[in-house]
Amino acid sequence: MPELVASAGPARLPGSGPVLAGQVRYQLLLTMRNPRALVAGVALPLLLLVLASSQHTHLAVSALAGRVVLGVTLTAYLTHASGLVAAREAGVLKRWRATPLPRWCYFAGRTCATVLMALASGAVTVAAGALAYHARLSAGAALSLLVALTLGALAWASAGTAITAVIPTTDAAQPVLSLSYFPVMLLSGVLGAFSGAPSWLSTLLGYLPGQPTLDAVTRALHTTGTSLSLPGHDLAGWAIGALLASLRLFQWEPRAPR
Amino acid sequence: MRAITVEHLSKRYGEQDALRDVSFEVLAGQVVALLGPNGAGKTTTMEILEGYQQPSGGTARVLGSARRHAGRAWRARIGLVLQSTSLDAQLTVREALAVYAGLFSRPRQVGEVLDLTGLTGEAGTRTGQLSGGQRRRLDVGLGIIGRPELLFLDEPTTGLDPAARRQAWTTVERLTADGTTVLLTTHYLEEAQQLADRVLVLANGRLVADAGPDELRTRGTLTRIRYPLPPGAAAADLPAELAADVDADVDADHGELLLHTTEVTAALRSLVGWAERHRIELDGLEVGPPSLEDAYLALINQLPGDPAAEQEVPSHA
Repeated sequence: MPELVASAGPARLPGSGPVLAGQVRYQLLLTMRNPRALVAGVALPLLLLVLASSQHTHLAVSALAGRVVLGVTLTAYLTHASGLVAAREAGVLKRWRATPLPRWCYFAGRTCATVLMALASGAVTVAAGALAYHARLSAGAALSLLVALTLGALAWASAGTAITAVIPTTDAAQPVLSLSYFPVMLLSGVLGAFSGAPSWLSTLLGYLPGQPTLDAVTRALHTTGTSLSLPGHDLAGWAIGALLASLRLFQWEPRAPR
Repeated sequence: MRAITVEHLSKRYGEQDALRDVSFEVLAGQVVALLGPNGAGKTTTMEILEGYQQPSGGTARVLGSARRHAGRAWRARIGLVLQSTSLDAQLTVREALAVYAGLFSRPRQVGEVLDLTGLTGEAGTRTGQLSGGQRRRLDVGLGIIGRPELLFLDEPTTGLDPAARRQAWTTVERLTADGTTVLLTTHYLEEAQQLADRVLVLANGRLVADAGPDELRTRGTLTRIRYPLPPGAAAADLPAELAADVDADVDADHGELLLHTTEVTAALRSLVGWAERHRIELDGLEVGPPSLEDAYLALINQLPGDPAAEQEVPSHA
């Protein structure tokens, strides 16, 4: 005897394309309404630019690159990961699992929205830097920057997703994320070269994602004409590795008892 | 036609049995209430049926599917109103409903759901600014936006005021009139009485009753006698066999006689005799089967104790 409840037959569910586009729109809306995202991704790098402009009439490319990378990675890593932990622990992700939304659509939608927000943050910082210091960005530099920031944001967003697996509560998110972010970024030189580092530390930093991101953005900003400067294999490796790790480690269920 | 078929279902968390050999069916179009004290296994049962948990033994088929993580088409046919979920606080009520509606092939109109849940006035309010009761109504709205064939309601009216609760009941009744099957858990026995065609009672991980609410009420041999004592009458004036059943907390001045007995005639004779002696009319006297709550409590209390079952069962393995 069939156990299926008779029905008129489910009509075709919306295709993955529209559903993914809807998720990206939805996640962008959430991020844009999140003041923390705007402060971390836009206000802080701009503030650091303003502070730099009050001290110098000329801004080194490396300094601009540092501020761009700071804004992009704060958005892609800190804001993205802390938002994920909060959503997971509040049961937001569990609710999504109860719907016919394909899991990969939620994951991809959230990551795409984060990358887009990070790119917007980078664009605002570069535009502000160019405006303040009357710098000109070549077409090659702009395109190279787009590639570097997209790959960098993807790497950091994926790393942020992966690390949420070891963050048990919303309260634990900020300490864990800050501790895993600021030392790496500061030692990598986002706010100025870190001189006098022991060789083992320099070697270690070369393996972490901060240095490759900063190098890729600095190279992109140095690009002239219409040539293209692609990020190194190290950043691409980080993006792929972190993405795979995030897919493996991503959790939908709250960790803390509710 | 069966919407849910559960056969010999069991679930263990470590050494603890959360469910033991539970079997039941829910027919399409029925409203079934799953009752039981905390830790009885209600949430575990619901989460297995919803696909969140894997049983340790037995089978559970929901709309023909026994898979833990069933596909999109299956998900689109069920609606869930859970206790342990939340929404992004930055969305407005209308936006939240619209986003979820976009996942289904034949969703209800957002305006229709706003109307059904009584949230029309809050359509533009961000969900983070809703009261607890309004959020619960939005939970229900999100559960029904996809026009589900089967709706799981996990304590859907917890936190609602009496008026909002009755509105939620009306919503459920409108859904069931359209043929939606509903499995609900609740701690409000009047809710089960109002909504449910059948009541399943879980205790210590076992199914201890499966009956209609009225059948459960009349199944026992106890009869309920209720009589609010009039002014001037005191509990101490009653015959000793009745005085012990006066609940003084019900009425600070006089109290209320509430008695469950198998010896109705003797109890009534005693009460009538007392009333005649004191020239008191027995205004407000009620004699009848126990309420569903009485029947439920009697059922639970007669079960052998299981200290382990008194603990809350974790919702995740």
